[in-house]
Amino acid sequence: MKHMTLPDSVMTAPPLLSVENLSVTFRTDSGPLPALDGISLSIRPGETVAVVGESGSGKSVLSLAVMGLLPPTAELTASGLTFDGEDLQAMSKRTRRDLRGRDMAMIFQEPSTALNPVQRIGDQLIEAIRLHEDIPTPKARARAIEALAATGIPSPELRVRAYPHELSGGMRQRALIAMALIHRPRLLIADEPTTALDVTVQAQILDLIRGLARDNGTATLFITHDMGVVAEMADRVAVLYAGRMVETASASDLFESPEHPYTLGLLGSMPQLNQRGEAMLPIAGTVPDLRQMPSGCHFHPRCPIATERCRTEEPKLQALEASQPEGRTLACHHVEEATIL
Amino acid sequence: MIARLLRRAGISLIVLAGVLLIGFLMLQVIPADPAVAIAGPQGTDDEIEAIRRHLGLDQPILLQFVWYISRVVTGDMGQSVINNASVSAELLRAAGPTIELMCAAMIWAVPTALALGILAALRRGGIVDRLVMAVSVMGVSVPVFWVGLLMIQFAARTRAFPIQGRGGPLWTAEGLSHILLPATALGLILVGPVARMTRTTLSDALHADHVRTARAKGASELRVVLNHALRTALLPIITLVGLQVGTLMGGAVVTETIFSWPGVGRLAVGSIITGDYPMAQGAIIFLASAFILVNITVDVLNELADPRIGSRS
Amino acid sequence: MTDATYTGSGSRTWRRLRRNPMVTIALGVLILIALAAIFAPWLTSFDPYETALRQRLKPPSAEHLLGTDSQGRDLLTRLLYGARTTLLIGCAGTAFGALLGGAIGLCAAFYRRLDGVFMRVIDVFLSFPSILFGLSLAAILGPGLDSLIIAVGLSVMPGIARISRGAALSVMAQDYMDSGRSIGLPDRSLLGRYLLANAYPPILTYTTLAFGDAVLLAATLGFLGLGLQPPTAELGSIAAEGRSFLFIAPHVSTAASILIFVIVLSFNLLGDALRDAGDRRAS
Repeated sequence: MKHMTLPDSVMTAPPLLSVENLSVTFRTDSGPLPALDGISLSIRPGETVAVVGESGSGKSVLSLAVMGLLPPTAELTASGLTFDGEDLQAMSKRTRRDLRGRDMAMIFQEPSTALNPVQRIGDQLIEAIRLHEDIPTPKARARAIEALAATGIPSPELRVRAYPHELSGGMRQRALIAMALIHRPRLLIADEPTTALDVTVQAQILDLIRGLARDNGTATLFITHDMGVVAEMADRVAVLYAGRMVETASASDLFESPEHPYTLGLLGSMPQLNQRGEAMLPIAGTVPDLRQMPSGCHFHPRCPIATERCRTEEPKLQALEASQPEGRTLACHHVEEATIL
Repeated sequence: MIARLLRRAGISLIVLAGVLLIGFLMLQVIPADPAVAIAGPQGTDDEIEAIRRHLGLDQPILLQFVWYISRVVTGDMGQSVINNASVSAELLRAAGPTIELMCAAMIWAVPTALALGILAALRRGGIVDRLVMAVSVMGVSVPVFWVGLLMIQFAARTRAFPIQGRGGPLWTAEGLSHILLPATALGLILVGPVARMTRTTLSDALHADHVRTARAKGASELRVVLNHALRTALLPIITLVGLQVGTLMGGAVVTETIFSWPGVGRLAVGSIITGDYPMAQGAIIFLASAFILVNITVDVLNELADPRIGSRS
Repeated sequence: MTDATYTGSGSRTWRRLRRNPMVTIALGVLILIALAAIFAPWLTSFDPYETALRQRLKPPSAEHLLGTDSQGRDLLTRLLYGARTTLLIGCAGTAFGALLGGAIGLCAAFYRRLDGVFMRVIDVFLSFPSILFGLSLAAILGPGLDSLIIAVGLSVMPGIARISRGAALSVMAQDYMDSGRSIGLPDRSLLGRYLLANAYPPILTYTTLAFGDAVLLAATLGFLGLGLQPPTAELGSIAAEGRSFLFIAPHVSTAASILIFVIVLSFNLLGDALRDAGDRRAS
């Protein structure tokens, strides 16, 4: 595992991002759609936290909620949502907007559509700079070139004049990363940044993100469905299923001794983590439709150890082994049996 | 890029050739013999025969076609059967007023429609949006002639504006008062479709990925709308407006007829009804060619303006 | 209008349609008018052609619900028969255009070699002012039913060609076309059973919208005098008749125009609702 052990100073520092009991519901013509239900998460400065889940788990909604980019049809409730000690919910729109791009930044999944197609790369970077800093254009341009160079784009002086369609997918993502990190934000949210890229480019981009985050002390919230990426990048992992958090743990703990049946299924479905000869554990069934959420534990229809209690009672996220500084939490009625699997 | 343009121009030329062919065939298919019409009811057979030879009507069809094309290209489209005036001269004289009318209609209708569409897209689902969509559906469904008739009724009651003919150049008071009603009527049919297209295109643009990126950078909503959403939406909108010239032309034909505006449209309709085939042929070919020309121009402008299109193969 | 962003799920579309009140109203109005037009002879006792010059231009009354026209004929009767004619022209023209356009589009999708040329030419014709078709055909064939129907058909044809080509292409991208081909089905079968059967929804939607334009074109040509000649009752020409005495008896032109407007509006609302209901992005 390539993550490094965090120093004690970081471990005891107050969290950079603190999410408590966050719920997001969308208003639609066919009724309210619950996307997130009571999510709690915290990220310490410099830490990389991966949020894992299949599509439909609500992980993208979580990142948009943190950034304040949810559409007007979304209703957000949380008992706590703070960034660097400041209450995001109590903030004015203006202050919130100032945070975006400067203190917290986001990169998205699809680099081919995330850039303005009729604007040159350089101009888009300059805009990102000047939204938060009033510096003259030539200076901004120089910084833009520097930022592009830092992401490993060859001939950045030429690339600044290019249009997005003139760059490859990997280069576009690098440009987007440059744009996101240009103000050295304290939190970077990466929503599946490599999913749309070629396999060969994926590793490069991951390395880039990790390196830049480490250099700038940026905390990263990594959204992904790929356990391999989690193994590469994360210090801590939070597993999301159908809008609820089912397990959190340090990356090493999660891979060594996963607890929740869903986590086990995710890891079991990963070809490379299996010993040769062992059968793979694919997870039966599919992610539930948000409109028809199962009662009780959302996972019970697909869970091999589900009981009557799972169908009726929602399992709360509880801390295991509270003495550990990194803390493990789990939301399952069968804490003991899960480890037997 | 040049290759693409040439290819499109080529296709348009083929269509133009087709139009000319149809125009030529028109004169062949009509039941009336133009020679007889010119000779008049007292014409003797010899006279008719002489006229036929003069018009070249006894030549093989293919030769006639070639001859005809060469004449059209040099600007000679024959004489009106009714008053012997040169068709091309009449057309040139009528072209100005038609262009004037269409421009006058666009000058007020396009900005209005754009404004309405932008407003509707920004307040999507709100009252303004629903109103704009409702008005545009009605605008597309209402017959042009009814709008014209309503205007005439209104004008007659208030005696505010003249309802017939053209009063002079646009920059004179007389000219302006005469163009007001027809330009309003004609413009009204544009507002609906353009507003609706603007609303849809802009609405889509506002939900685009790159707009989300702009918001994530910390851009204000105003900036997002102007610099990012509108910028990418404006291009298809302008193209669509350019293509609305077709609708405008159709409306112009009716509007000119109702308000007795001395344009090509009125000329076309009038000549068909009176059986003045050379004039009808000339007017239709003129209108079709003008339309094709505008199309090509819009295409060229579109190609030049969009940085993406140039490098696509 | 975009090329075919439709979902294959017909039942979902119908469900969404039924929920929309506009659809019910529009459909209801259209059916009402259509029935009234079809059963016109039974609905009114007046003869649409018999003149009664003493009764000219009378305003609406108990005897003549909508008044009389310049020849003393009952206006309501004239409108009902006129609606018949106008709807007939619209129907026949749209059917002709839909068949022609649908065939061209399907062939363009199926026989890729023809695709490029076909579609480029179709594109140019797509935005052609439909009036020009009317003018040309009236000039060639003389004003009358034939030129009207062909003109309407030609104006409808390019749009349908585009839509059917788009729908056909997305259907053809599906696997079951390849499996049909691999078991050796003849082209005719493939085109008919597989392609058409699955590609028809957007064609249907567009045809409904095209119908509105068709009626509008027919009425406009009638108004200009390029359609059926008097005394044939046709909504556009009735409106034109009323033009001469617009100031003393506006009810003739107004009633005819309103009827045209209502018909076209209903078709457009219906077509819009169909398009929105079938649009994948709407959810």
